[in-house]
Formats: sequence, C-alpha cells, structure tokens
Amino acid sequence: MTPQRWAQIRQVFEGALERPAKDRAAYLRVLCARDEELRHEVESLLQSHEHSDEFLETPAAQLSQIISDEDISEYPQGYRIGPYQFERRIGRGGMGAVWLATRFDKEYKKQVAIKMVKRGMNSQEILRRFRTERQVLANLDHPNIARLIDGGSTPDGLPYLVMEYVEGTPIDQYCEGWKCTISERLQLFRAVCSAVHYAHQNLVVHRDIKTSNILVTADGIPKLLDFGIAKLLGAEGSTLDLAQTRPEMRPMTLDYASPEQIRGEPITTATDIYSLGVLLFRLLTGKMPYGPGIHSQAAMQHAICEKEPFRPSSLVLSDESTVVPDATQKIEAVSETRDKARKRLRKKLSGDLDNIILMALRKEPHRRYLSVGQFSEDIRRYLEGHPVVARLDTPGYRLAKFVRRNPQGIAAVVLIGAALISVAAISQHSASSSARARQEAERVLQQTRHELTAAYSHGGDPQHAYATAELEYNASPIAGPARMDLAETSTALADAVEAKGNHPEAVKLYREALTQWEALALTNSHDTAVQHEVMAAANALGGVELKMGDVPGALSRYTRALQITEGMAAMEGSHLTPATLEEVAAANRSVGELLIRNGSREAGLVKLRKALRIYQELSSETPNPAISELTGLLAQP
Amino acid sequence: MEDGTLGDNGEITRLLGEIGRGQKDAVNDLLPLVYDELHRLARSYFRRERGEHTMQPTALVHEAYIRLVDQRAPLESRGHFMAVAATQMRRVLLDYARKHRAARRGGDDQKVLLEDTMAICEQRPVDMILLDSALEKLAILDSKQAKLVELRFFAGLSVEETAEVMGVSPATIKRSWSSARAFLHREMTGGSLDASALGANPAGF
Repeated sequence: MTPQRWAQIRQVFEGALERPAKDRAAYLRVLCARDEELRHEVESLLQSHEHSDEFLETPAAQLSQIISDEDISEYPQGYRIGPYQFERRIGRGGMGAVWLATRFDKEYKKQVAIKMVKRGMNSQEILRRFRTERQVLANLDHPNIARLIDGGSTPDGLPYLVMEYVEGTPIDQYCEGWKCTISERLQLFRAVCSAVHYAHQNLVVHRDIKTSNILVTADGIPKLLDFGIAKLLGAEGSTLDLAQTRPEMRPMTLDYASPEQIRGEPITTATDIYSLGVLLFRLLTGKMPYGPGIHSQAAMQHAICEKEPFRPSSLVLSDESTVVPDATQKIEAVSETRDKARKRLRKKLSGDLDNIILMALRKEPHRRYLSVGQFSEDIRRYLEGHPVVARLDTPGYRLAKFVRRNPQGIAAVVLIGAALISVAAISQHSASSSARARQEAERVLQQTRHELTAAYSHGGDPQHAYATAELEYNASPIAGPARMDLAETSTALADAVEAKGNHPEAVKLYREALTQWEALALTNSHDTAVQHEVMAAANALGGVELKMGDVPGALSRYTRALQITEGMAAMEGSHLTPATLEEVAAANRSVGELLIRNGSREAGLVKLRKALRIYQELSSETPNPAISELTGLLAQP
Repeated sequence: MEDGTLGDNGEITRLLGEIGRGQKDAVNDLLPLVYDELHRLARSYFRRERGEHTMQPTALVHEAYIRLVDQRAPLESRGHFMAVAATQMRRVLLDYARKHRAARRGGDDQKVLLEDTMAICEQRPVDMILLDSALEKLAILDSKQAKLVELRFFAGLSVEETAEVMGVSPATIKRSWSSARAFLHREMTGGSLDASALGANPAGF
C-alpha cells in the first residue's frame, strides 16, 4: 500500500464513520463505484472498527514490577550473545556501551570488546549510524586500527559490533608512564598518523581523535579506536554521517574539536589533521593548545575559533609560573619528567616543532597540511634533521614571501585578496537569498581559495589564479552582483593604495578596476550607476597618471570619462539635470586642458569653449568661478 | 520555583528551542535524554510506591516534562517535548516487552502481552511487539497518524491536548484517530484484505 492509497482509503473510511450505519453501504457504493479494492479495504477497516471496542482507548497503563526488576547494568556477567560471554563493561558513551567479553570456542578462548547500542537508542537513525560504523570498520585493515571481528543483533533486537580487544594505555599516559623521549613520542605519533592516513585513503574521516581513543599496547603499538562518529567521504556530495558532532553533547571531545566542527562547517580530512595537531601538542607539552585558563564550553569554543594557539615551546617555558587547574591531570608528571631537560626541550620545540604543530592547528582547514601523510613526513624530516615544510605563520608572512619572490605580482595578489573579500561578502549577502545561490557562492569561494592557496604555496601564477576566480564568477548564477562587488573592492583598494602615496601600485589597481567597470558597463549599458563608476575610475586613474607625469595616459582616461559623461547626458535627454551638465562641462575642461598640455592646442580650445558655454548656460544667480577661469584660459594667446 | 531540586534542565530546554527553530537534528539529541529520564522516573516511582504499582505513563511523561524543561520555555516547547516523550515511552515499554520475551525464550508462549508487563484494567491485553510493528507500518503510510497514536496511547494525552501538540483541531484528531485505530487493529488481528498482507500468511506463526 502506498501513502497515497492509504490517504484515499482513510478519507473514505472516515467519511463512512460519520454517517449512520444504515447509510454506509450506499455511501461506499457511490464512492467506490469503479474501485472494488477500495471498497474492500474500507469495509475491512469498518469491520475492525466494530470489533476494536476499547482498543488503545485507555493509555498504556500501569507499569508493573518488571520495571523495578531491571538491573542498572543491562548485561550481567555471563550474559551471552552467540559465542560471546559478557564479563564487564569497559566503556560507556552516549549511544551505547562497550563490554569486555570472551569468545568460547572448542579450541581457544579469546577476549573481545563488544559495542552495544543502548536501549532506547535503537531508533532508525542510530541503527543506521551503527550499520555505517560497521561498514567503515569492515573496510579498514591496518595494524594501528582496532579490528572489527563480528557483528549482529541481540535477541531483543539491539545491534552490536565485536571488536578486537585492545589491552593498552591511553597514549598520553603511556608516554608519561614510560617517560618517552621526544623522538619516541614523535615515532608513536607517526604510527597514529599512518592509521589516520590509511583511513583517509579509504575515505573515512575519524572526527574524534583524542588520547582516550588511542591505546598503546604493552608491545608499544598504538591502536586507534572508536569510529563511532566517523564520516564516510562518499562520492561527490553523498556523505554518510555517523553522527552530527554536536560539541555541547560531546563535552569530552571539545578539547580536540576543530574550528570547522564548532562552526558546523564541512568536515574533511583536514579536521583530523587539526585533532592530530592537538594530540601532538598534548604529547609534547602535556598541555592543551589554548592553555589552562578556559573553563566553560563557550570559552573553549571561542578559543578554538578565534584564539591563536600558544606556541608549544612557550608553554614549556611557563611551566613553573602557571598554576594548572586543567582538565589534564598529567601535567605535573610531564613537567617533572622534563624538569632537567626543560631548556633543551624548549629549544627543540621552539623551532620546527612549533611550526609543525601550529601548521596543523591553523583555523582554516585548507591552510593546514594537505594530508596526514604530509604532516607525518614533516615529522620524519624533523627527526632526520632535514628542513621541514611548516613555517611560522605570522600575519602577512606568506604574502611577504610571495612578494619577495615575485615583486611584479603584488597587484595581482592584492586583487586576489579583493576577490576573496568580495566573494565572502557575496556569501554573506546571499544568506538572505535562495539556498542555491548561497551554495553557489560558497562553491566560488572555495574554488577561489583553493586557487589562491595553490598560488601562494606552490609559487604558482597569481594572474592565473585571478583569472580562474574570474571564470568562476562568470560561471556563477550570481555573476552580476559578484562582478560588481569585485570591481567595487578593487576600486576601494586602489583608493587606499593611492591615499598612501603609492602611485605606481595605485595605477595598476585603478587600471584593473577600470577594466572591471568597463566590462560591467558593456552588459549594463543602461545602469547609470555603473556608468558613473566607469567615469570615476577613469578619472581617478587619469589623475594618478598625471601625477606621475604620464600626460598621454591621463589624456586618454579623461577622454574616456568625457565620452561616458556625454553618453549619460544624452541618455537623460529631456530630463537632463544641471548636475549632469556640470559634469559634462568639467570633463570637457579637463580634456581641453590636457590636450593643450599635450600639444594639441586647437582641439583643446574646442573643448574649453564647450565647457565655458555649458557653464554659462547653467549659470544662475551665483556666478561660477569656472566661467572666469575658462574665459581667462581662452583669452591666452 | 523548585529549580534547586530539579536537574539541569537547560540542555533540554535549549534542544527544544532548536527543534522549535526547525533544527531537526536536535530531536536525535533529545531522544536519549528523555528516554533516560523516563526510565529513571519509572524506577524511582516504583521504589517510592512500593507495593502500589499504579504509575501511569501519562503521569510519568508529565512529570518528566516538569523536571526536564524550564517552565518559562515557550508553549510550543511543551508540544515538542510531548512528541519526543511519547516516542520514548513507546520505546521504554517495547524494550521491556522484548526483554521479557528474551528472558522467557524457549518457553512455548512467544507472545508478550501487555498484561505481562503492565496490568491493564478491564481491557484486552495488547501485544506490545505486534503493536510496534503495526505502528511502523502506519508510520510509513502516514507518519502523523503514528505520532498521534504515540501521543494518545503512550503519552496518554487527551484528544484536546493531542490537538494542541499537533497543531490541528480536536475534530481532525478524532477522525484521524478512528482510522489509525482501525488500521492497527486490523494489522494486529491479521484481518487485512490487503493482498500483500494476506500473502504474508499472518496466521502462520
């Protein structure tokens, strides 16, 4: 039966019920004239209705003894599922619990961990997550990932997963307990990286990397556990979420949560890179990246999204002075084991290791390491004494570096920045418009950022990046507003650069702005605002060129401005306003003066005369000083 | 105000607010919290009223509401809460029924009647597990009707209260209730004339 069919059936049924019993047969004959099956359905429902008496009319009633019988521990020792016998609970989460169990076979005894869904949590949604976790794990076979052994459902319908039982210590405690050296810690960390990288290659993002999810066995092998909230990166757009990571609901995870997780932005492999960064920070310093003074969730969220993390080496330094009421209890042990070596540790951390960790902890996912593999490689390079990829990321560092390498490209870089700003603005702007337009704007933004990053980090051609951004704008359904925004931003940038007296850069930027406005004018020939902008940009560019002594250049800009002004006046026709006329006069005057300066005296005089004539026509009670000035100019021999 | 004696109701009130703003995910977060509370209340009630097992799910749901939700929350939050609580009350009862059946596995009686887990006054026992699967079917055909059954039967809301929670008139509730009830009864007694149901041989178990 389909919902549509049911809707039809119940309508007829409910209609029948409202009629006296004796009229129902006739009612059904009429309504079900051509649908015998419909009549049968309704009749059988009417029959059920007759026999149902008080069925469900009294709410589910008193709860009996059974409820009190229920033990708090849901699966007592000795409880069996298939070949597995439960021993004790070893873990507990929001969705369920993990039990230690023993598998009894004829041949051998083996301990396993069984992950159960909690009662009451067996909703469709949770069952789906559970299935996804099973699917995720089934595909992962790596020495540093706890293996999936089996899965199934209990007799009362609760699903479970049977996992390799890892007898080990959380990685941070292991490091402290064994007083691991920095390079031992780094080696352990690299093993964790290899597990995460392997998961990424299998399109799985873990999303919950933290010390308690990484156990180190007695053999010193770290094992990554709990893919319970992992995410499958599917083919384009189709992602299987194991859970919406809601920070408020997972307070223990917040310490390792990335800015994008807090903000609810897309989760990618870069999310795991961030958490790995926190983990490494923790392993090397015994502290968390934002320091000890953060006590509320809100403050933590704010720190993750806005605050720059401490430099790991600086926290080693401040050990003594900082009283640490931190969630991390092991700190004293850490500082104790390092007391003597503190100076050396500080020195070790303060260079490349600081940079490596801070690179993984960058707020913007795309500015972290490109992959866990690259992250791990950089640590290997550090261990082997080779230069690392990571560089300290002071504001403007990359830009400065780029400019040094490519001085000609500065205008383009500034423009790419402008493009980014404007696309971001569009994203904001379209929040109020359709979701689709917004998505599109986001896509443009992503693409542009991607190009920009490529240009920055690989020394690529920024002009190419800019051209790509432009192509993106053009392909976008919001191309109009986007381009407008871009042009406005370029103009504003040019104004700013000119205000600082940097004429050569200002010329480049104004030129770019003028080109953009010109392009816009082509498609918006009746938009006077755009025409105005073209004129303003041309005038501004001409003004700077003039300051730099480029009279021919300035002349051609002013001529263009004049042309537009006169075009606008023509468009106004009979509604021509005095303001426009005055602009026409001023433009003629500028061009006229420049023509004379450039040696074309006759042509120049024509423009000046025209300007004077307009000024005289406009002139009212208050005499325009331009009139006397022009009269003077024209009178010169 | 009894705030001091109540648990931290901020989280649940906040989630209800999110549901009110159309954030569907919040429901998933709310479900386990409400389930736990219903469960806990049921147990604690039993201990308190030793020997007198007259705790009605209806009262349970209402008490859970008072305990869990900031009473200054907007009225619509009450509706959202009731909807979630009804679903979870259904789950609580179903879990007991299943557990009971599992405990008696191997016996000749596979049916778990509600009278086993609950004493129902002068009423025919309801097989919780059968009811659950019938409700699942109804949910596929008309999720609002399934919700209506949860609110009326599991949360014990009156027609008027249900109408308020679901945002429709009492008359609509009454009509919808009649067909939902007939559907469930037919499903559970195998009286369906629907071709597929007949093919499934309902008497075969």
